[in-house]
Amino acid sequence: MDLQTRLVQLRAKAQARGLAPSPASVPALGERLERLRVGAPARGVPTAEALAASVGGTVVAPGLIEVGRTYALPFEHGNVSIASGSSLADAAKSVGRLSGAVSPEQLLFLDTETTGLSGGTGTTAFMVGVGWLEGCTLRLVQWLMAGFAAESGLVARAADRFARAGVIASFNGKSFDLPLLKTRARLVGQELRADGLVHVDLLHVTRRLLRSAWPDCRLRTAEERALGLERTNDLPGAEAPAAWRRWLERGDASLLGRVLDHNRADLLSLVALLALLEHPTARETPLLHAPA
Amino acid sequence: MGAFFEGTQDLFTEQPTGDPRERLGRRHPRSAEALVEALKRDHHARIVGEVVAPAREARYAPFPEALDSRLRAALEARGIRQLYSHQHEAWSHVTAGHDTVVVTPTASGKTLCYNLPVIDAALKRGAKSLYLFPTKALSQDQVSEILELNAAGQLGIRAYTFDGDTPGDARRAVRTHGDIVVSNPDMLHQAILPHHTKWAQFFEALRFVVIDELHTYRGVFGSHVANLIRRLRRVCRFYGSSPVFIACSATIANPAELAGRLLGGAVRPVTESGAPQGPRHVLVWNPPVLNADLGIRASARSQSTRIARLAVKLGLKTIVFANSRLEVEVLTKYLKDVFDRDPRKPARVAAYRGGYLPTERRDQEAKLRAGRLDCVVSTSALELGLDIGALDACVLNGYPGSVAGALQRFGRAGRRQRTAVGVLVCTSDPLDQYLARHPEFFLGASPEHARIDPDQLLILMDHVRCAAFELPFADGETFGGVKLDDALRYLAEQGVVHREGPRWHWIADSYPANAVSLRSIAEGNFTVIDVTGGRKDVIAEVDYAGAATTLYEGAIHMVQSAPWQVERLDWVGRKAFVRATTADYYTDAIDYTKLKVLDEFEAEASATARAAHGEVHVVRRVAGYKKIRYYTHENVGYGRVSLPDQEMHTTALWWEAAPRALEQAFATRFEALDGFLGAAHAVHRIAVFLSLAEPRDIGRAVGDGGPESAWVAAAGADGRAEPRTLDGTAVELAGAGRPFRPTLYLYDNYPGGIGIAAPLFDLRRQVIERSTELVAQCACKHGCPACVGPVLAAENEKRLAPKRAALTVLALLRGCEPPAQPAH
Repeated sequence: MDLQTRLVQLRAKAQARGLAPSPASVPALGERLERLRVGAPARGVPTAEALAASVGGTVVAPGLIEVGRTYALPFEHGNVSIASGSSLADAAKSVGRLSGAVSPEQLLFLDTETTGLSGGTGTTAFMVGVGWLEGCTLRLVQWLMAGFAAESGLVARAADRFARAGVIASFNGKSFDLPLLKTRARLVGQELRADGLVHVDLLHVTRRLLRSAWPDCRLRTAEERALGLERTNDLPGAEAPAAWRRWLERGDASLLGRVLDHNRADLLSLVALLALLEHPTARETPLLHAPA
Repeated sequence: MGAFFEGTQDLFTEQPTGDPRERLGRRHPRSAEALVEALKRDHHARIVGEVVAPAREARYAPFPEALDSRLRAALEARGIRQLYSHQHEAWSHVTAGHDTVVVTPTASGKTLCYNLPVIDAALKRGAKSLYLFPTKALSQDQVSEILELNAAGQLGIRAYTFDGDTPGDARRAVRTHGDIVVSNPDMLHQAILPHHTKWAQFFEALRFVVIDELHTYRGVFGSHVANLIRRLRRVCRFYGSSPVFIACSATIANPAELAGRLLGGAVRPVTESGAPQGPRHVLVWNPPVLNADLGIRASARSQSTRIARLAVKLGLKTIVFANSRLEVEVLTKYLKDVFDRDPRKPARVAAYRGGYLPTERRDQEAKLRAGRLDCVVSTSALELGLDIGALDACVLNGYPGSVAGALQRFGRAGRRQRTAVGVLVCTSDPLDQYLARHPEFFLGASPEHARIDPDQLLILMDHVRCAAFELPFADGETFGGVKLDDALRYLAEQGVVHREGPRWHWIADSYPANAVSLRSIAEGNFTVIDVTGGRKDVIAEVDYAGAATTLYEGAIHMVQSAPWQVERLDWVGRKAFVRATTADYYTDAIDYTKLKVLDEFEAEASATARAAHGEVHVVRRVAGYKKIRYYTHENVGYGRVSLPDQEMHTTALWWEAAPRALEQAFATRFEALDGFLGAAHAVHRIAVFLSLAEPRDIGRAVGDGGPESAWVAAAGADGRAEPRTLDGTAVELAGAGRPFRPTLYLYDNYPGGIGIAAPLFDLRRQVIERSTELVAQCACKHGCPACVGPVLAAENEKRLAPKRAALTVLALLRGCEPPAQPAH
């Protein structure tokens, strides 16, 4: 065979033989890690504007999407009629056993969607839903982060609503949502003032009033039994974290719309539950004690 | 001698007893001398070494000028009018802003070295401090001391413990109002750092971090804690604070170095103690030979029991340290048989070890402090500076594995003006016997270096995850000087962090700190549940590493020397169900270990052998157990065990002999295996010795070095080598066609390795040489537990003696001609 071919063959052989491992070399970190365990890939990066469009919201700050809704009072949610702002304010006062007067403008309803339930500094509230009263309307606003860069804007807006509020109504917000928002604020160098605020946590109220009658005190149970509402095609709260991760890692926003719907439904049920629990007779309604 | 504040009251309770010699012994100021005299008089031949350390005078220094007057008044109210020299030295370094480590003996007033600057800064500037102790008991001790000082001077310092027992509503008060928060590494790891925003005020004002018992942070635990400190520093930076670290350590050879690696920077050492100390006698004791041919000696236990009995009878408060929980239980039983025969009287002897429930341990500690116990038998759990009052005599049942450990344990005995006695009783362990032959090595030795490996890959990754949960990482950020780009990319691939621009954010829904145990590179603890009579009480806890060999079904598991038998083991649920038993035997597990080489990093071959080191896969199986009767140590039966194998990847070094040389040196393959097993026995002890590690840090095995790793060798009932597969079936070795490649392995006993095998490979020549010395110089004829392992007398005439076989193998591994064989 000719010289050219032999040279090519010799080079190939030399490459196949490879270099003897030198004692001083330590395999690269990535390689060592792979030896000890396994891993997997994938990603993409569409814009906040595209996300806003797909969920029917607008971009109000870098990476921050806002979705708003208004509901004219009175309106029905399930079998509860939410009469007016003052009826809600009265409800908050009696259900929360508050001493001072409560005016409708002071009420702030709160529910968040997060990346996990541990509540530590690694948990992010990627969606914050708030509701408040303006005259004869209930205004719901939901903020969704398209990325972490949006967090500062989200916290600022939430803090602004908190600053104008006097009474917060939530479901498990006392031990989860509010501490989490305070943590997120601290991490982005802001402060969420909530010291002067009174917190009416409907989880505690529900437990107090209905613990013996119902199998559990989850919002869904309350919704079904007390409000007579059955959600269709609801994305369970437990799947919200994965839905957001899907957006972050793959640019797939298909489930985020449903997360917004779920969050909105939670907020409305929160409002209705407050209204329901106010009427003394409502507490004795057969509905509340009916088996599933 | 100036008045000095004693952390404990010197209490001797008056306990009436029938024995006149006992009453005479009590309160005799020279009891310790009397003990030494009695031991020398009656057992002269057993004392192979002795050293007397003279009494030491105190060296004082005045209070620092800058010391807050309120604090000065509080100290004076407690009877302290000046400082020891080392306390003043510590103050100087700390107030100048240097990380400092104080290395002085137990009861030298170490706590004032940190309490002084901490309380001073709290009073003057509202500075906050974090104290980390390895255990809750120590934490509580510490808070009591601060509160006493507080009370004495009405200082108004708020010191709180923060641990698993702190109730929810109290936690808020601790976070927001605590001036001094006393906690432990586990709490910092799982509860404080991952919720650091709740501690924002605390971190902003944090000026000091105190780490006591620094020397306990070694090996795996130390490597974890070093990373924990990296996370702590990172969080402090976020809040704009940069605290000074003050550490306290027992005597090790390299306190400044350990502290530097643990804390991640230069540390000033304070090593000269100004505290006074009474004279100390240290004896090295070798049990008498019972059978010269076999080299069998009386058990160390029998000797320790004898010495402890005499000490207690002479009125000395005694502590006996044993190296394993099993030994603690057996020794306690023997001593209780002597002193606690009457169940109506309060116990004078008690056992203390990890695995007992915290309430029981607090109880024992209180009894010790109050002087109500005369003798306590303990594992290293009591090595720490826990305040248990003053003791006079300390007996070590077996060399604890390091000179530093021995010194730390001896340090438990000794009061200011009284003589203390320490006795090291040698076991049949080859290393102990080596020390018995060379007592000057132990008596004159300096303590060892403590090692940690903060960049151990698995440990590092665990903490990078935790750190990512705490605060997002930025591109190019380092963690303790380690570049993290690869690690973060790996975590992103796992879906745990998400990279946005230059930052990596946590997005998983898990809480990583829960999955990381600071004491292991794996799993969780087992709880032991008593089900006697339909109960379900948790009576003890056992760590994962110890579970397979102590909680198999049928095992006799002892708690306070009362035996329980394991009825059922729920491996996955981490629970063992036990029932009280009256069995007169205890159990000992039989385990087989198989290794397979995954990657060879470096090798060296000679005409007769080949040595290498690299990465291996280890499988360990507990095949069964032996039942051993108390006192006589007869083997009264066997049992089978079926548990999941323990598997891991780690680093190792190994030796093989050239097949031709092996064939020429040995008549049969079984004899060669005997040689390998015997050599492994000696080599392991020397390796532990040279690496300055604990025996359980290095695993050893003899197995087939061929590609299938077809067999492992273990000692059978007659002490001879038996090649078996992992499930215990015998393997045929003979046959010219079959290759025979016995290999001696030494491996890091932790997944991922902990940095032992590679440096040991560099010392391979020394390892083989010293092992040869150990075996050749042993006084036995054919082999014994001190050199190559236990050997049955009857076999010696028929086959090549194990000792000779081991020396032959060692000669081959050294690359030399084996010693001349007698015809057989």
